[in-house]
Amino acid sequence: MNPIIEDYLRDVETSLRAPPEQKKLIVTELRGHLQEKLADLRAAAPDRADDDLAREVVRDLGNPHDLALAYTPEGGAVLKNSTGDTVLRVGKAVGRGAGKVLKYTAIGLAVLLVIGVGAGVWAYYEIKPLIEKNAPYPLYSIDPTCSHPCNTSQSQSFYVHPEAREVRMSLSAHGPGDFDERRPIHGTLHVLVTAPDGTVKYNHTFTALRSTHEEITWSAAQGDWTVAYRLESFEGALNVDVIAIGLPKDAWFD
Amino acid sequence: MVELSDVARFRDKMDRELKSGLVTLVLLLAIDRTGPDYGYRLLKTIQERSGGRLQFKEGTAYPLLQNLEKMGLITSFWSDGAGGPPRKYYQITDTGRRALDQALTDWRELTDGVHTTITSMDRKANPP
Repeated sequence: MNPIIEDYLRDVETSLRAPPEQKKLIVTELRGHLQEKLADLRAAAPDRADDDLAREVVRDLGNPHDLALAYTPEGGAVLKNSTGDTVLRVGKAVGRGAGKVLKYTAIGLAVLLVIGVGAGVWAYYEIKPLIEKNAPYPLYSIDPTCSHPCNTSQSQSFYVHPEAREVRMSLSAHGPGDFDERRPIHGTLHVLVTAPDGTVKYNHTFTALRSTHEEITWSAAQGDWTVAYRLESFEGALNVDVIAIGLPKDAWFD
Repeated sequence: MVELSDVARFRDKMDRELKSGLVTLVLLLAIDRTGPDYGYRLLKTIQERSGGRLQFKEGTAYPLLQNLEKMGLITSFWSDGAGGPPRKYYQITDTGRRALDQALTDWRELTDGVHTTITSMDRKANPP
């Protein structure tokens, strides 16, 4: 499968607001479209580079975010036609006018709202400490972009509090250029993450790929963690975010 | 005096507004007349049958198909292509066929009305 098409489909899937199963079906349908069109273009122009054809194919389908958004349009009418029909049918069934049906419906909704607000207030005070304890606490972030070859090494550290349960790292790297003009990473990018006891938690060299995204979770170890980067003739962009989970709110300001 | 960019902008706006409902109508028509069929082939059929004059952004078609399905005008089923990826085939429902017939009648009345208006106000036939 062409990496440009797969990148595109990943972007659509990320932007879709739908249950995972539905997302999968939408992406499968779009993949079929892209594959068949790519094959048609390939047959019509066998001399053209495959990546060039793939770029044309995804461009014809449109911006991945816009496409995802079109599946789940925002807004809509305040009262749908089907709701209006229901109101009239209920009115007819109970022998009252639509106005009265709406009035009693509004009273019912108001009662439910009061109950809901009460339950919400109770839940807020009951669950608040739990939410606070699971809120992500940002530890570290870096997002360098090299549009010209970069050659550098650097090491940075972040401190993990004793009460933290987990450390999560989100790492994205991609080659230079805009989405549909993206070129593979040039040169190499080496990332090394070390825990306070010197254990190597992550050690990877990125080279020649168009884009990648990784989510890694470690159990927290108190102390100073180190992230070391080595860039050799690197052209592309990197984004690293590290968060801690499990800190009580008062520990945030230590 | 109207600048060329204003003309282009107006043409673009007209194009978008005219096509917004038209795409749904043409998709439903293609499903009825050539279906059951899957998205890519439906789009190709429309392009071929219109002699290349009806070209809309492919990305708009799939959410519209989903919407037509939610409205109960079409149904879909998955089928494995011969060695290819699975395809989602669309077919029209009875409600969809009735809605299409009505929409085509409305469309013909609308285009007739527009044609009659344009003809009756034609500059050559009615010089100022």
